[in-house]
Amino acid sequence: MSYRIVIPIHNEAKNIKKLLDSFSERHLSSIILVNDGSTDKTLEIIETNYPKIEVLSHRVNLGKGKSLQTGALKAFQDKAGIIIFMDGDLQHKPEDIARFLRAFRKDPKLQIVFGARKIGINMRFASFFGNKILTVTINLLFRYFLNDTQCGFRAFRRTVFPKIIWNSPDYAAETEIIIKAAKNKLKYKEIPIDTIYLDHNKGTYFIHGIIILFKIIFWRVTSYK
Amino acid sequence: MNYLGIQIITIAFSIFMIYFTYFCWRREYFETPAFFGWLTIFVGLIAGSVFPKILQPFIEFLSLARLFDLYVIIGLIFLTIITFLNFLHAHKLKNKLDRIIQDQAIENGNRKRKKIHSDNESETEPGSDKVKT
Repeated sequence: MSYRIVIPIHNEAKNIKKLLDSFSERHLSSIILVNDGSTDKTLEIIETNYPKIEVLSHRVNLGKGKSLQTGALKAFQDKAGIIIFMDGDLQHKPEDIARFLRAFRKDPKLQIVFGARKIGINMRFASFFGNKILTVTINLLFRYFLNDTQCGFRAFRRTVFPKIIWNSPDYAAETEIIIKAAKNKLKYKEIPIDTIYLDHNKGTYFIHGIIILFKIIFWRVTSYK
Repeated sequence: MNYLGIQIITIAFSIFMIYFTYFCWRREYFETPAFFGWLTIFVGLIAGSVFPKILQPFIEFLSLARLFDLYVIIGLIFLTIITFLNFLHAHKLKNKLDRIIQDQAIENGNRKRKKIHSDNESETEPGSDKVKT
């Protein structure tokens, strides 16, 4: 089963070596790093230490949603059977990739797999509260029952990509993928993963959560496809 | 009622804007239809301030208290239209720009990958369980 791992990165000079060293040789060759307009030495470090890794560089910062889109388009072009999304800030363990792939192998009808962190453990209260509100809202409005809707670790089959392609340029892209999966009634599964927060200053803030909440309601109210 | 102050300001402003619009048109910042559109608006402003009585039928029809109210309403509607058109235009440009940047990133990535592959004799097929020799 062929797969590509899309990892969007922005100014990850501190973590990029640790991130890429944590991957096995086999996974390393399947990574698509999307450098989203980094202004630090991220690209330099990658090109010096990992010249064989595929890097797609945005000249300017477009946002996480656009970075995921660029990586997914490339993976789709490369005819990868499974497209996996991971965050580039060491929140996700590469060891879990095998579990995602096993889920697809076991069930040929499975279309999308979501990682689910244990909400509340190692999380700031604001993140826990925001996550809970958004998850419950999606569960209620779209009848797509997930435990963690804000986890960036997920995977889907190549055939599913045209159905879930998103417009959001920012963090709302992850929610939009779930909404589209729900609207298209895609068969899904959740895989529990560890909660790791190394930098509490990165990721979504309270204001992002509010915007995403409004977007969820808007997507429900409109016949969003 | 004496509108002299407002008339002077409006005429001076309109004359300046007519000149500026002509200047921009000569430098080909926009096309001729846009030039005539804006010219009409500024000439209309002058006409409206020099001959305020020509708008009296509209004031009566819309049951407004005074001419100034009509100007404020027209001004607000006009501003809203312009703001919305600017928003639309900026959004379209952003989408086009994003697309260009993404396509460029993929193209450059493909080019680099071809170069790396052509340098290697044996490689691992990306993202699969098989090693190609």
